[in-house]
Amino acid sequence: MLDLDHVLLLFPFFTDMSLAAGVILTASLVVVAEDRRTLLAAVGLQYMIVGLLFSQLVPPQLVAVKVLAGLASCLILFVTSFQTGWYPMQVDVLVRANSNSGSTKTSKAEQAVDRQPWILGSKSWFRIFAVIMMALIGITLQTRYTSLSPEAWFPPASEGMIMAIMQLICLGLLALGMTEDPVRVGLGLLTVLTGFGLFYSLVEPAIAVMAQLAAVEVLVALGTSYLASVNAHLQEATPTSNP
Amino acid sequence: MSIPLVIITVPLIASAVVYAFRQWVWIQSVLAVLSCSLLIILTLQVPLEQMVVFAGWDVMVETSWEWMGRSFVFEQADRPVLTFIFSASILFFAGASATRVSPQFVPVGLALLSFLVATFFVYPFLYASLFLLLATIVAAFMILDGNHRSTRGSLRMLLFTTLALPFIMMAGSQIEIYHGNPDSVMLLGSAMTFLGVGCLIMLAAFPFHSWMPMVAQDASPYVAAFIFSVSHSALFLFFLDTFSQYAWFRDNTSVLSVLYLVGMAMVIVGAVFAFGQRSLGRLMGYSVTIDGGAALLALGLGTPDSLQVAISIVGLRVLALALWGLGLNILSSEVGGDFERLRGKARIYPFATGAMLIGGFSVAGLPLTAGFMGRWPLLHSLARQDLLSALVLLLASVSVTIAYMRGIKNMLAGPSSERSKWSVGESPVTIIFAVVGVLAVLGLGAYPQWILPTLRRTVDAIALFVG
Repeated sequence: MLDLDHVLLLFPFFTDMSLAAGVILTASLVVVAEDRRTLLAAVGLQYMIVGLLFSQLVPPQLVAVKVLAGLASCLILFVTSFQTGWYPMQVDVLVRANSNSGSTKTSKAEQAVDRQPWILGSKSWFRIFAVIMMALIGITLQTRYTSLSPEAWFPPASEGMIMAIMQLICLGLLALGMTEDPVRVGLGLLTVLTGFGLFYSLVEPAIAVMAQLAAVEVLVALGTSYLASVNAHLQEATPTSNP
Repeated sequence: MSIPLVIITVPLIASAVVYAFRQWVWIQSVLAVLSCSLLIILTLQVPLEQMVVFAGWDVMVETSWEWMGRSFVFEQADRPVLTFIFSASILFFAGASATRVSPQFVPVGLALLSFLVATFFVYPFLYASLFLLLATIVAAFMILDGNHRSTRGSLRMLLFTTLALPFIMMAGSQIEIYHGNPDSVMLLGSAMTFLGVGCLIMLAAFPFHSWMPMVAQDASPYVAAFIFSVSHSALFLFFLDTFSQYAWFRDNTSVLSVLYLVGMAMVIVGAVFAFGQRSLGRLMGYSVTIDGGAALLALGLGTPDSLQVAISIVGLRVLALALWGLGLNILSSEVGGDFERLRGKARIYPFATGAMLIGGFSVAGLPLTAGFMGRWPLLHSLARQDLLSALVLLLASVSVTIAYMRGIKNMLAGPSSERSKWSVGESPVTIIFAVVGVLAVLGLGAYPQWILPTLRRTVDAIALFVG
């Protein structure tokens, strides 16, 4: 039977740097995309790419558990999104309405832009700009890390691995800062935790700690799913948010 | 029989049982109070590592429990802390029948207790973060009910708790590496930084405090009071335990300076934002921020009695918050906590208004209230070291008081034809709880000598646990 290392040998283009590039792409989607299906597909793919990076640090069985826990978290959020709707915009409007700090109505044109992924609204352009800035910060941190590691406590790792870690954490934090939609917050948190989990496996690849992190990811997915469901029920009870 | 297992599972079982009685909040209250009383007796009286006869059976009382490779250990020093947590919970569960809480408050509160006590038992401490996250998620279930459906506060709380986990886990790993390499100053520095940042995020210290006013606004006031007192006090004690466990952390002057600065920042930010508030919920959020800042200031002073002062500030907050929550829950159950919407409510609910006001004044640390007992020694110590800081803390109390006065002015206002009309809208049970609570807060403030010896013994016992 082929193990993961043999599988990786069959795909020579799966280098650390190419995997890091994949992570940048998926994490950027988590920030930019509006449709929850795209967001969930991006995070699911992200778990698989990170699984390939994990395979260099921990045994394949553990990688499988880690990836499955991540996909289970995505599944939880998928079920919630399926029940509550694929577009979070109305929820954001609702939050504004609830906090009495903004308009409760959104123009039809604005909604049309948000529901057609091929049209990029001003919000999306801003997000793309923010992603580029954050990715640059991640690259700077990665460069600094490589120069720091020989004398500091930071564990040594390949450039691609550190790049993936920094980008996951930076773009995950950016995603957290740009929304109040529970599903997106959940996916942002999962992105940050994935980056941290990858880093922590460099520091201490203990099974118990990895199990704890996997449990944390599932708990975060459950918690944010619950909050998303409550938001959706509130949306049903607020007719102004559906013109 | 493993004591940690019993203490963790009893609230969980009680939570399931109590949930079945969600039609009758008073039955939930009685059952929850009985469960917590049983836990207090067990915590205080159980002999450790001894054979006891229970219902005709010989039972060995074990102090540790292994689960999934983790150790849960009950120690002699845990007794006062657990007693404090269960006693504080009793106060809230008893009052639940006197105010308009949702039927999920008591069962979810009991489940929350279970996860909170687990954080004190689990070894090594980095695994406590998992239970803290569980407690936060459970708290979200408590915050959201039929009348309170805004998820912003819960989401922000969950966000910050989750973001604290990596720091605490990194601190744990750095401490383990440091133990194998005790000469590495760099390891110690990074462990200290991670531990400090993780704990400050958990404690909702500045600048991670934004979820507190949000929760105070979004949740039912009684639930917010429960989270700010029981849950937050447990977190604070957990932090003190961690703080005192490592001499390199506790005795480091830089750490003390950071605590002092963060505490002062919390006091200033709380005071500035409290002054302009027009919502009683958010006002309490900022009051608790000031109070938390005062506790960190006390720790940052690094005086011999710092721990005791910090613990008494956090401990005395419980009674005041319960009273505030009881009062405002009645007042805001139909209209929310905004000043404008509470116009004239003081004339309909005078006892609830009194309870809310006295509770609020006590959290603000006003003289002649219970909260002043904790603030006075702090002001005394601060004035000796840094008079300006003492003045800032006093001004923060004044700022909160002025905001409450604005609120009460609105609550007393109404059409001129109705200005002389007063009625009593509260139920007799609410009136009894409100009057007893107000008398207790004022009595403790006016005659602190009644309780000071007991308070000192309790605080010393808790300080022994954390010190």
